[in-house]
Amino acid sequence: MSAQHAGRAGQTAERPERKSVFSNDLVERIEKATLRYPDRKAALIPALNMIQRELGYLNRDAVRFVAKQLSIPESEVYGTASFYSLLGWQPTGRHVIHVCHNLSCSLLGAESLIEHLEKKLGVGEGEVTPDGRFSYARIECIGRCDGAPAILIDDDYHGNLTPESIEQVLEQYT
Amino acid sequence: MEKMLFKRIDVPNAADITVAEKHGAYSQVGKAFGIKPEDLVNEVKRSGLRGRGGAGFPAGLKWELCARVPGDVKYLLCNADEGEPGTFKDRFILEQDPHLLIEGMIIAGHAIGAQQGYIYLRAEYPKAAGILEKAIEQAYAKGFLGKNILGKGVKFDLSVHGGAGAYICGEETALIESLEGKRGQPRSRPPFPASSGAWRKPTVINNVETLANIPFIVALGAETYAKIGEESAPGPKLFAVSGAVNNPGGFELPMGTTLREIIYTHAGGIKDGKQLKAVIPGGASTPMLTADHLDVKADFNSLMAAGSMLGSGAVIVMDDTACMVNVTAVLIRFFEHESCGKCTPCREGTGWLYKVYRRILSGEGKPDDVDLLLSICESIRGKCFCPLGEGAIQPVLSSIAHFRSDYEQCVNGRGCGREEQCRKVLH
Amino acid sequence: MTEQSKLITAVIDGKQVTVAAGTMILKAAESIGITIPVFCYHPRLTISGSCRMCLVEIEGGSKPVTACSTELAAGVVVYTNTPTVLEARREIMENLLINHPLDCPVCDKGGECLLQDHAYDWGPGASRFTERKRLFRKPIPLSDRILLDRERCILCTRCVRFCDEISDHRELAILEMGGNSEIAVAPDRAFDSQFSGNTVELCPVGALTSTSFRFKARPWEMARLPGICPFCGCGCSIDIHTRSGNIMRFMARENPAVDDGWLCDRGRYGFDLSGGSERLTKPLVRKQGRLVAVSWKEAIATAVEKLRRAVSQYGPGAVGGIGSAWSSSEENDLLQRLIRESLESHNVDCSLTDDGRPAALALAEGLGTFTFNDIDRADSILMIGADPSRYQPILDLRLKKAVITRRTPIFTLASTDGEMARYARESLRYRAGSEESLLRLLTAAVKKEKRYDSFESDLRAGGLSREAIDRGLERAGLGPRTVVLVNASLLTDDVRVYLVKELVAAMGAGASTGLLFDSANGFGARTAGAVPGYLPGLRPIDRGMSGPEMVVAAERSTLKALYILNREHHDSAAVARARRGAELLICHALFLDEASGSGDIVFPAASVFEKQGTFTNTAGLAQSTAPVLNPPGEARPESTVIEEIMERLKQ
Repeated sequence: MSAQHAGRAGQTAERPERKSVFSNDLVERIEKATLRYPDRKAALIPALNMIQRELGYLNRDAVRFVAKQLSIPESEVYGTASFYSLLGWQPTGRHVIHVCHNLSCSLLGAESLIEHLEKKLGVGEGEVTPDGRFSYARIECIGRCDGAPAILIDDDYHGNLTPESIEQVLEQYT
Repeated sequence: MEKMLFKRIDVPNAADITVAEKHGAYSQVGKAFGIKPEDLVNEVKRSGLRGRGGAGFPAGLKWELCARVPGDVKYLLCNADEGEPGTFKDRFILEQDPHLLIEGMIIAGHAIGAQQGYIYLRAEYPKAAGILEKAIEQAYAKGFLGKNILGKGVKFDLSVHGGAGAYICGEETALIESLEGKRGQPRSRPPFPASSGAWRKPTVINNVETLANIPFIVALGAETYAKIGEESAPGPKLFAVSGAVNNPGGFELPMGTTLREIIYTHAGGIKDGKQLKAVIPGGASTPMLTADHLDVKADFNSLMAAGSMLGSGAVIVMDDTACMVNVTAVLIRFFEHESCGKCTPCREGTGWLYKVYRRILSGEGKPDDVDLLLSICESIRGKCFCPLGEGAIQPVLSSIAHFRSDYEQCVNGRGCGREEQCRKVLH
Repeated sequence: MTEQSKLITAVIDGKQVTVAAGTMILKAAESIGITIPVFCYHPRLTISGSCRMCLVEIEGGSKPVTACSTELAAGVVVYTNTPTVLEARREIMENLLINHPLDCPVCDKGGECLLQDHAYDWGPGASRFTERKRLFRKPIPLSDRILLDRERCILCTRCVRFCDEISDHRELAILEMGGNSEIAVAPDRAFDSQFSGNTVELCPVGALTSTSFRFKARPWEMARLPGICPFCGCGCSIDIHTRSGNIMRFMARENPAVDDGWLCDRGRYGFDLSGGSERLTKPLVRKQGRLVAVSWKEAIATAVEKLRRAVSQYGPGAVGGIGSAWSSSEENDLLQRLIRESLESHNVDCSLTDDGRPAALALAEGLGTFTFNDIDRADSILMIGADPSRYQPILDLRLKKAVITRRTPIFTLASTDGEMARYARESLRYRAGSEESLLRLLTAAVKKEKRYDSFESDLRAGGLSREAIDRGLERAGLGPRTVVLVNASLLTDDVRVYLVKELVAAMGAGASTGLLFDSANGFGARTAGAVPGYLPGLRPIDRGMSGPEMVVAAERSTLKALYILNREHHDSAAVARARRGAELLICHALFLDEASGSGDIVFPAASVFEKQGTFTNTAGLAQSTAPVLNPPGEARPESTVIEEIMERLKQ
């Protein structure tokens, strides 16, 4: 641990921490990730991604957990986590729909698709459907411009969508 | 031209190492290890390969700058963060032929003296993440990665580092910051990454496509390779064509193929029988061109001469129904969203630009607004910390230069009749 | 000299400039009197290069460059005043102001705001921005001392860099990105660094303000006078800002020998000495059991008469004087002269609870030679019982600087938990009370001697071992340029002093020793002779009672008269014990409280801001202060009172 980080990490430890809600498996995977780098801190974004995969989003507990695990000041974990647009702070649905609204998709109807999707799901951007099944957000270019308009549901791409075909796509996700 | 970079793209299951090897993957590693690192660097220099990420910096020179810095610890980073809107060329390699990239990185590592590589992969490519992880695992199992590659005492470790959604991380120093676990904000240069990069060690950062060229330079030799494409920038070039075309997709073509050939021959021409109105030749931050520029060759120098840039080779086509104010607003929305916030002109200027576009699109534009937009661009131009701000103003400047009448229609107080569609961009 | 050969010459605005290679354009320009406007740049922080205000042109360059982060290359021609540069400044100013609330009329920074000043000097005069500005809730408290107005913030990151690079407390970060960026602390955390106030001073705009100064005064209404912070043994240089006879705030005044331009919050926000109480404004004399206000003439006459009577009745040995480690050297000198020369007693000390003599002996024995700048050059640092983070905060910053910038190894030995332990190569805890054994063992370890079984067992009981000490010495690499910092309050007897001396001697010539006093003038009170057995200049003299001995003697009525300087800095319980048996208790006090109220004669004193005086900091640096306020009512500086008493006693 470098001297620069020692002070703050030590201060964090002084406060009583609630028992971690994070699994041992997650701790292990984060520890494993740190081994790939010359400095543990480099595992921060991988760790945040892992937690988001597990919880669906990040929260205060996640930040404290990672800060402690990687000996990074909490303020810095917040600063870094909040910088990246795909790390989120709001609960998400079981499936997260990211609709690309950048130029190639926009030229081919992304806005109508979003309009239709909002109507169909009955929620606005960042909200979760009442059944907890979906949440949706706009996203910048996902590199599927050859299938514009394109979306990302969890880790799957769906392209060349129309208001009709997107409904069929949604049915694949329960 | 026989395909090189895309040679295994159509081979089913080429992401599997056994298949890839059958089709030539890793065949150049042994040969490259037989060449002294400095000779390998020279070979790449003589090949004339220029970086394919956008800036077009000579790859061999970049390697040489790093290789010359004394030190045992050096890093090779692969920039797989192709976030420039319209760009998806690297995706084909990442998802369908990851071993080409890995092979290129092994050779590059040997050349520059790096024993550790990282592939900085954008979060928007989750599929590629799994494929790359598996490919790397296979390469380790086959002895192409690790402590003693091919029993020749060469060490090279490689892992994937996933991003979390930030366009700015495509900028070299921001990528390094992000790799180190920080906010992806650019660093001051000098020092340049070649002397002080990741963890302050000498570092080379190459784009996926750049690294994918390496095995072919080794295979063909610099002289033969240099004969491909344009003399000023040899080699094959990947183009990603999207927008209002019949056959959008990724194409491997010789550097210097004309925009007309790319759009009409390979991408199948304009959709629905319409006319081409505008083309962005190299991704969102490259100036728009018009139908008058279709015979410009897509290479660094020719596009520069035409007032634009080769950029990432992302060709976005607009047909004659497109409103260029709307198109530019979408791009400015992107740049405003992706400005990292570090420097004043980019942070404030892109925000101001977007607010003016929003106002224009909502029907409240004023005739003076067009000049105001140009003036805001001037306040950004040449004053930013990194190239993002400079890129952000290109769509504004070029769309006003070529399509001022579209703007005038928007700000004349009478409207263009399509406000409804435009307002959607304002979300 | 090698540096001579690395000089380069270039031209800025037509003037030739010669600077060391590697000098940034901004600094080179400054050296020939050319000022380039900046926001994010600060000479004591790393370079950010982000505000872009300092753009200048280099002849032949394709675009302007930032003067703060561009090295001046040999032979280049730089311009800081071309139309391009001036236009760039106008543009940066316009961009910085588009989201700024322009609430200067109600902003505390108004009048000393870089944004305001640069807008006046370089701004466009009018804005073409007609859109909605970015809005934030404002201000938000970052702690109970610091408030943040995010609308005024220009994201220069000076405050973040201070916390990352200087205090290393790292409470602040930028959240979000782009136009949504904001400075913040982690949720549910406070900006609780003891150095937080520096960020208010660093802030070039009115984004960070302190609760103590908010809406209190406009900068131009205040008089500023140089002073020395009186709140610990560091003696940081300050500017004291006053208005209408009140101190409004302290600002740092850079002194490279002490503070590097920083202040701790205890110093910065400690200027209100009153705690809400009313000051004493008239001398008080006890009459028929009650203290009544009298004239100075009467009070002094009463004091003279009673002191004279005490000496004649009980002998000089029945009289004692207590100076103060928080009073100036002049005051302590007068106090000891009053006791020794006028009353012919040897009973002088500077504390009621501690014997001030051993630390004086240590100084007389040549310990206490270190300077703050020694820390910057030290090969290693050994800290014994010292907790500068708590008691000498600015020294904490100096030590962190050494660790962060030079990786100076530190070895701490302490009986309590201190922040410095986290910066140490090795940190060991010992049991309070075992200091003597510890010093013996350390010396033995430094000398590589074996055979100290007896005290080793004492230490083992406290969890410390010879092996651990050897390991610490090994890791810290103690050697000739080691700085040894010893908590002065550990020096409770002569044995410990000689043990420290032996330890330092064992390290070899060149090692410097610092005695860390937590009081403003612990060093000076001793060199001024306000301790048993030493005259000013640490010349030996017969030893009278120590402070604690005087308390016991007074309680038993063997000491009849006690004269106390600076009542507020003495232990109330000790005063009460002394009172029980003393016939005469005279004190100088700022306030009337139980302790001062128990005196027979109470002189209304002048606060440290109301009089002249010299204070010697813990590194032996003597610094004089001048009064910045007038004492209230008839309150008088103690020195004039003592002088008058001495004068009268002669008659």
